[in-house]
Amino acid sequence: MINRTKTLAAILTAGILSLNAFAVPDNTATQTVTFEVSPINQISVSSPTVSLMVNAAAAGSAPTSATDSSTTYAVTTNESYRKITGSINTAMPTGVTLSVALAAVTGATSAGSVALGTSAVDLVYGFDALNESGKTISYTLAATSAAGVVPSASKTVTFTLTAQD
Amino acid sequence: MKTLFRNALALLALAPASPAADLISSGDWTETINASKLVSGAGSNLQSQLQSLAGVTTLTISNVSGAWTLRARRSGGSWPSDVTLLVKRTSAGSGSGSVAGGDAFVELTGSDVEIFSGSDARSNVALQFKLTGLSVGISPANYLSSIIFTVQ
Repeated sequence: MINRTKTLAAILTAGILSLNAFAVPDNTATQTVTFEVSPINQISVSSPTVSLMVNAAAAGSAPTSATDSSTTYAVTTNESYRKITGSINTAMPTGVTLSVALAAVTGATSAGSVALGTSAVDLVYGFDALNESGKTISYTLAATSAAGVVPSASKTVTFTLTAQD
Repeated sequence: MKTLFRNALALLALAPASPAADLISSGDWTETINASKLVSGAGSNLQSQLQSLAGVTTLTISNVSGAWTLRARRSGGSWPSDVTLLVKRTSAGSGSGSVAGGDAFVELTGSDVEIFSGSDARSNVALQFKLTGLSVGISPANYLSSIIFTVQ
């Protein structure tokens, strides 16, 4: 009798332990929210075309440069140490220079009026994450007297927002 | 014999209380934030808020009889301090029980906050998440957080 009782109690105890082992609290559940922020470097200009013509000069002086400040640029970046460079697709004719100056965005330095060539040159540099628009682009077309009469031509100016060296 | 039964009863007393309910969740939310999320292209900031699809996560509450409350909190991971994560219930799911509340976004923090309540079993209760405070000031990286749901 005593042995049977012990066995019964042992079974009961084992049963409790077994139930206990399966009574893992599962009234919680977990999910994950993930968001990836990709590098963003966007630049645009307000107008795709600008026309400049050098067609006047004061007697005894070099031809008068033509200027245009009617367009602006906008920029958005979420990265640090950024700069804007500029270049043209083909070289300018001998004696003719196309220069551009970009107004600086907040925290940046403008390089001022810089002659454009087929190699990129720095125009604005030293800025971090920001978004700004309405920054003035100033073009200047200059020609020497020696350039003579130059046929009308188009140049594609490319502005690039990139990492500062 | 008495000792053995006493021990058995003591084990019963020590056994953890049965959970209020069983909870199963399904569905993570992953969002990519790139230039397509700018308000209006170059010059503009990121959209300050983004929402997941309604029902990106579903919850099933089972093995319960009577009233319960569903709470949630954020835990671990890397998370920018300017960004807030919110959640709301977008469907009542199905089942013999009922759900109430939770139809407005609630901010998730490191502490449990009530999302909605109900009674008895419900399946596939749908949730929607929202991120706020997004801007280009948040450095490119992967950010994540675990969301721990508890039903009691």
